[in-house]
Amino acid sequence: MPVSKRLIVLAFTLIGSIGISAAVELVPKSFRSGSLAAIAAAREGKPFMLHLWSINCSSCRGEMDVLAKLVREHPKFDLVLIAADAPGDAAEAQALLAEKGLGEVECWVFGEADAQRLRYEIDSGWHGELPRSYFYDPAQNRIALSGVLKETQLEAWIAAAGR
Amino acid sequence: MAVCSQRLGVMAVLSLALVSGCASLDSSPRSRSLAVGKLPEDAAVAAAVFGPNGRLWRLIVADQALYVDTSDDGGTSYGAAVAVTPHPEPILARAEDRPSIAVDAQGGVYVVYTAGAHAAPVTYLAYSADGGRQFDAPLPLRDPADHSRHYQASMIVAPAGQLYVFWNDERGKEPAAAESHGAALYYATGDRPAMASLSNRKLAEGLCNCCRLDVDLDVDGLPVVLARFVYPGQVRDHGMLKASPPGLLGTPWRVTEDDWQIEACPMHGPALSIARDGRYHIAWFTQGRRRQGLFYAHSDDRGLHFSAPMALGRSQALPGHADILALGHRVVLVWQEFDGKQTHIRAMQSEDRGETWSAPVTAAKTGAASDNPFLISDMRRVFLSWNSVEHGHRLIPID
Repeated sequence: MPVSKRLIVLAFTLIGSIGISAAVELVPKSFRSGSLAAIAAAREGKPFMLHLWSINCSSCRGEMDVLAKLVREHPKFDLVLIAADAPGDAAEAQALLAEKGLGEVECWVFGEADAQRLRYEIDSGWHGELPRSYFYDPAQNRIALSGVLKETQLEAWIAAAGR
Repeated sequence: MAVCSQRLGVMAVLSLALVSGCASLDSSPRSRSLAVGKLPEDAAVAAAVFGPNGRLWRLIVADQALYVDTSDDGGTSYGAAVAVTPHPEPILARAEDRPSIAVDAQGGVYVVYTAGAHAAPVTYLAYSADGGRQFDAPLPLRDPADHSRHYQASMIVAPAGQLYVFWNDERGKEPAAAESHGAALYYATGDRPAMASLSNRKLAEGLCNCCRLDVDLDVDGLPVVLARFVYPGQVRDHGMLKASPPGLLGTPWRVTEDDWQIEACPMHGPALSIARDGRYHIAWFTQGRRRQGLFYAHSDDRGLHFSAPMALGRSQALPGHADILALGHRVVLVWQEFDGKQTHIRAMQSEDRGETWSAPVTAAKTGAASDNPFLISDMRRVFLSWNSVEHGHRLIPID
């Protein structure tokens, strides 16, 4: 690598590290057996959206831009993200969320090797396709939807949930 | 099996288990470029295949490196592991996107793997001309001027040594377009003397980019690919294509008509096996409007028309991730089920070319993390090759 390019990279790295140290250190939580119950218990009586994605899910990436926009526009929109990846993917998952403007949203990453067991605990009828979204009402009844959702669908739910 | 601590890491990424018999996987003095000591504790078998003379070859992912080891006694014991990758780098090794290994009749050993950061994965080919004692420096499969994302490579080697590698390729595409309309399917082919210059050719557009594709050789020795495509209206059903060294033969054609309309990553690729009598056997997963679940079908006209889909497994146990293998008149199917506590690898077989089938049986099970099941054959018997945290890598005959 030419020296000049190396210096640029070095400078960029320094700037990057300053930026990171100034921000609040956000680490994804480890999603384990029982975590979903904890997520729901913390939101008793309140609507929220649970959104499962993966760093390998190309379909998920486009939807993240929409989710980030909605989070910005609707401060009361309670979104919980779960990356259905492996424990070692936490840093990459967090970096991707930060890049997409979702770095401040509550984020979990599968923290056990047996992903099948975790998926089953979330939903015994879910085959693992992503993205997968669950819309919880205040009574914690939920609706499950697979695939990328339209912004209008999400806005309609946010509006209904906010009433 | 040697006692190894059950660390996460690569194992978790691949949902794999530890290599059984780790103590036997010591360094090979003839492997080069990478200091090979004892394999790390998180070593996991990414692929296994039988080569000439019934030798079993395993491709092992461990701590940002790939190794190959072999067994001449059907998996009872393994020789020293040989390094394939010249320096440590992240190896993509996941359920639907994993490295592969093939061995030709002349003793050439081929390893295809994808490495590097998630944002810019590159697919490499590593070759050994001396029966796997050492590997040449891996070559990127992409054209020199291309820097797009390459992944989900699948490889097959004809007995005479003609190599075919297929992969997902996002060159010339905006990421958003690749996300919603699929990537392109590219391939490279060559025989051994031409391996240093494998030019890339596009075969098809609209490949679903999170489902493995499968490839097998037709009776004429040419490769047939079965893959999930993104059809108009975000329908993620399956299609086939056939290639030859000069390029695509005809055009890709639609195979399944399940009408699974979804803008999502199914994370669930199909399986293909072509019998010596020319019958194509396929297995696939869908949640389509017309049918939902795991299915099997066969075709006697080179994939143009298929038998009525036969449902596999207990629907409440989420059957999925099937593999299929035809050997003579025998056809074997394996797939994964989960009963809420345990993963069962279910197996069933046909002795009459897929016309009638045995009742399914559980070939293996575990209450811990496990990998997708795969079938391999030494041309005499069929084996389940399967990883689990509980049992390590196992080779289980399906008789």
